[in-house]
This record gives sequence, C-alpha cells and structure tokens, in this order.
Amino acid sequence: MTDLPPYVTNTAKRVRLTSISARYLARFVPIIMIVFTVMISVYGTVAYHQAMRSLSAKLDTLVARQSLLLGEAVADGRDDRIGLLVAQTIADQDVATIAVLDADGSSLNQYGALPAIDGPLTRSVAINYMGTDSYERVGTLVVSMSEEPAVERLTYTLFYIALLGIALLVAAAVAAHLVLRATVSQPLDRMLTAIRIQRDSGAHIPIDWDSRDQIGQVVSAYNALQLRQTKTESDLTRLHNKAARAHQSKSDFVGRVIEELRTPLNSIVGFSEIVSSQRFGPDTIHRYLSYAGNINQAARHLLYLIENVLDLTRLEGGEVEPVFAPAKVEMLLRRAETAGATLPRNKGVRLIVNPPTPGFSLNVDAGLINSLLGKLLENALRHAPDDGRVELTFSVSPGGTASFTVHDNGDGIPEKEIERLLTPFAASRDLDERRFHGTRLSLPICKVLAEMHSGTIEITNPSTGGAAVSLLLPPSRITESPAPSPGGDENPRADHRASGASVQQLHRTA
Amino acid sequence: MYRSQSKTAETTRTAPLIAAIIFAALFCCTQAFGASPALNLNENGVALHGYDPVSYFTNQKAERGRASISTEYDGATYYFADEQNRDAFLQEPRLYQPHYGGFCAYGVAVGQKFNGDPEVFMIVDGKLYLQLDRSTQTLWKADLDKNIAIADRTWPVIRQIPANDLND
Repeated sequence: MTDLPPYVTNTAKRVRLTSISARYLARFVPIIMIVFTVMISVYGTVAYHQAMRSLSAKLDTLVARQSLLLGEAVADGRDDRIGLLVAQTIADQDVATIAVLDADGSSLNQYGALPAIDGPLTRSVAINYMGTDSYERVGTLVVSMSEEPAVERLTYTLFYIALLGIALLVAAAVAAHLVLRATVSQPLDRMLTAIRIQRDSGAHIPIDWDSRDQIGQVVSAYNALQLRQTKTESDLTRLHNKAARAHQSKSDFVGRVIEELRTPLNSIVGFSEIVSSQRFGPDTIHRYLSYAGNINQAARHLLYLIENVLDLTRLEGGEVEPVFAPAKVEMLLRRAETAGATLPRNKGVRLIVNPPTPGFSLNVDAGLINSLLGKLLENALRHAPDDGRVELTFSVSPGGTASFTVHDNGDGIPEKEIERLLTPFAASRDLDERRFHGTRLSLPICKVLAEMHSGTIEITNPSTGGAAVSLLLPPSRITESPAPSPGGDENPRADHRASGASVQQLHRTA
Repeated sequence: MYRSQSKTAETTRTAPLIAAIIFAALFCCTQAFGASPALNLNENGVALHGYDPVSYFTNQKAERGRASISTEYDGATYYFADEQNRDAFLQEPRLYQPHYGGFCAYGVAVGQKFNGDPEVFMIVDGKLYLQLDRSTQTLWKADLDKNIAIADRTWPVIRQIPANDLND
C-alpha cells in the first residue's frame, strides 16, 4: 500500500468511517445492550421475588422452632435460657429484631425495637407450653427479618452478571469488527481503490484478493469482467485501425482508378479532336486512320480497366460465392490452354503446357481457377518478348502444396515491386508500362481468387531467367493423388493435342 | 402500511399470552381459597409438598413424587414416584395419609399448626409423623409417647381452626 498515490490513502481514511463493520456494530451493540438490559431486569425481578419467598419460608420455620424451644423456658420463667435462645436466633444475619413477650404482653427479652406485628417479613407466634394433659399459652414471640442482606447479595450477583455481559459484548464486538474487516472491509477497500483508479486514469488493475466466500466470488467476477473489457477495448482499437486502413486503401484505390482512367480518356479526347477538326488538312487520311486506331486501342484499354475494376469490386464485396467440387488437374490445364490460345501476344511467342502427373484432383471452383489461370497466362503472353515462350506447369511439393506456375522468359521483376504488384495500382506505372501492362489490376484479382481457395499468389524471379507467378493451394485441396507406380508417371499423354496456330505442345524432356 | 401490519401482528401475538396468564392466576386463587384448615397443603393444594406418601412406608425414605402421577383424595392432591405407589395408595388411602394433616407433630402437641417438613419424618406404629425441622424432631423424640398422647388429644380441638387464628 506504500506505493499508492496520495489520494488513495485519503479515500481509504474516509472509507474506514463508513465501513461495514462500523455500521454493523452501530446496530449490533445497542440491540444487544437493550436485550441484555431487559434480560438482567427480568432475571433481577424473578430472583428478588424468589429471595423474598425463601426468606419468608425461612422466617416461618425459624419462628415456629424458636417458639417451641422457648415454651418451657418462658413457662418456668428461666431468663438465662430465654437469653440463650434469643442470642441463638439473632445470630442469623437475616434476622433484624426479636422480642419475647409474656402472657401479659410485657417484654421478657428483646433485641432491637419491637416491629409492627403486621409489617412485612414479621411473624408473631404464640408460645405454648405443654402441661400434663393440655397446653397453655405462656407468651408471644415476635421476629422480623430484614430484606437488606438478601437484596445486597442479589445486587452483587446482578452486578457481576452485568460485568460479565459487558465483557462478553466487548469481546464479541471486537471479534466481529476484526472478522468483518478481514473478510469484508479489506476486499471492499481494495475494490474501491481499483475502481477509483480505473475511473480516474482508465487503467485496469486486477484486485489482489483470493477467498472462497461471496466477496471472493464478486472480486473474481470483477477481475474477469475487467479482463474481458480490456480485451474488448483492444479488439475495438484493432478493428478501428483496420477499418481506417481499409477506408484509406479504398480511397487510394478510387484515386488510382480515376488517375488510370484519365490516360486513355485523354488520348481518346486528343485523337478524336484531331480527327474531327481535321487539323492536318483533309488529305492525310492515313494519319487519321492511325489516330482512329489509337482511339480504338485507348477505348479498349478503358473497357479492360473498367471490367477489371468491376471484377475486383465484385470479388472483394463478397458477391461471388465459390462452388467447390473435385476437378481433375488435366481438365483444368486443358481449359487454360484452350483459353490461352486466343489471347493476344507478341510475335512468335509460344505457350507450352507441361503435362501433369496424371491422377490428381483438386477440390476447387473450376470456373474461378480457370479465369485465374487465364489472367496469369494473359499477362505472361502479353509481355513475353518476340519469339519468347510461356510455360504452364502443375506440380505438388513434397510438403503437399499444389502449385500452378506460369513462367515466361521476359524481364525479371525488381524485388521491391513484388509485394506491391498484389495491391491494386500500387506497382509503379513505369514497371507496368514496361513489363506488366495491366497487371496492376489482374494480379490483385488473382490474389483474391487464390484467397477464396485459401491459397496464395507467389511471384518469383527463377534462376533460369524471366519471371514466374505461381498459384499455391494448400494440401487440403487435393482430393485425389495418383497411386505411386514406379516409372510410369513420366510418360507423355498420347491424347494431348495442341490447340491454336501458334501454340506448340512440347513434352517435358528433363 | 408495513408499520400498521406489524403492530396488529404484535397485538395478536401478545393477546393469548395475557389471557393465559390471567387464567393461570385465577386457577391458582381458586385452589388456594378452597384449602381445608385440617390439611397442610402448599399453594397448589398438594399435600406433603409433592412427596410420595407411600414411599415413606415401602422405602423408609422421603421421595419426590411426579406431578404426572397424582390422585385426589379428601380435598388434597398427592404425587407419587411411580404408578405402583399410587395403586397402593388408592387401595387404602388412610394407611398412607400423614398424621395431623401433615402438620408438625410437636407443634400440634402444644396447640400450633406449623409446617411439617416432608424430609423430616418418622413412622411410629404404622403412622407417618412429620416435623418442623430436625431440632424439633429431636425434642419430640425425647418424650415420644407422651408427646404423641398429648397431640392426639389436642388435634381434635385445633383441627378445624386455621393456623393464624391459633396465634391471636
């Protein structure tokens, strides 16, 4: 507690005054006091009446006995014997006065003043003497008792009981205070401190308290709540950052798209103005025709861009739901080859599809994979140099990862651009112009398609030269593998035929 | 609302208690007023202060009776230690009744009705005599035959006179 800030100790002081144990004792002690007082007074009353009753009974017996003993002495007038009996009677400390009267009422012996006959705790009894055949009355014995000694004894008893009760009450109060402080006040103080700190500074401090009672349950529930809140807050922060980043990248994307669209539009506007205004005179028809060709090219490019942007938005917006079904690798490659045959390319560029190991099947959406491979081939074919070659290969790594690789022999890709190629329009325009025209959108689309299959796009510069773009699919996508048959899987497929005029089917010779 | 409810609950709770106390007090009074002067009874009309009258004869000792085993005879209630004693008492009550109505035998000899202590007793010729206390018993025993003879003569005289009137 020593390292806590000063305001905490201030609050702790205020808390002590309003503590549970103080409130408890403020009710507990008076109630017990009242109950105790009532019990003491009830007991005192009962005990007083009982003492008076026993005193009365004792007086009855005493006066009867002494009157019997006195009978002969009074009859014979033996004063010494009367005196002895009076002294014996008065020895009892409860006896206040005694008087022995003769038949005429005059006192024979006396101790103390003669009390009123009908007073409380006073008895008057005839002293009879037994003659030979009958009895005769020879005098009267009057004895009175004082209740003071009895009351004094009772008072002492009550006083000691009260003392004992107060001692018990004090002990109970101290014990209750200590127990309450240890089990209730202390954890409550700690909770309050933690809550105040959180309120003032926002820091989540777990409460250091461990017990199995209800307080302990409250504390652990509070701690769990705090933990969850902390987690929720960090989740919220992360989501917020992510949303902000997504918003930023969307804005960037829109900006880049508009920038991208301006280039072909500018050339359309420029060339069409030249043509419509016949700036170079009416006779240069060839020039205008070539400008019309430029306009057409720019418009096509514009259309291509817009289609790709639409594709990307549709894919990212989750509008396309992939339908997975087992598909044979041979079939996928054949369809890619068919699609690639008609794609535009530089002069003399050949598309080579390496025959796969037969027997593999993948659990994929065949249509999406087809368009993915088509885009990869389109890029490669478009940018392979004259008389270059583009290879499409399927392979399975020892780790079980299936990969489709499109390899061309064009220029390599600078390392720093590889990552940016997968972000829409992020790659430098210079590289795009030179090497990957249009890929600033198609590769990101490929990436989204690959991610739909829980796969990735990998761009490498192989040591053999050129650039290679691979679609990597996780092992779980492979539904069928060929049974291992030694020596048979390298055979070329007899029915594999080339399609398209400039595409040649070459067998792997390696 | 809550307060008024609790108040009515309190009154309904205390009312039967008060009624019971009043009833008990009345019951005690009727018992006390109906007592005969010839018998030494306590405030509940019980003879021998609740001691078993048969036990003196069968066990030769004073034994407390139980209120649950009791019987009424001749205006007095007797308690017994067990049911056998009660049956024996009911067959011949006169045999077991204390002499002189349970008053002190020596006191009766001198014309007084003093309380007989059930713990201080003596059986002479098949009759139960009680005494005020041990000192009077000693005095009484010193001249037993004479004291019994005089008391037997005195008892019919004072039998119906209340104890207090004997001292006026």
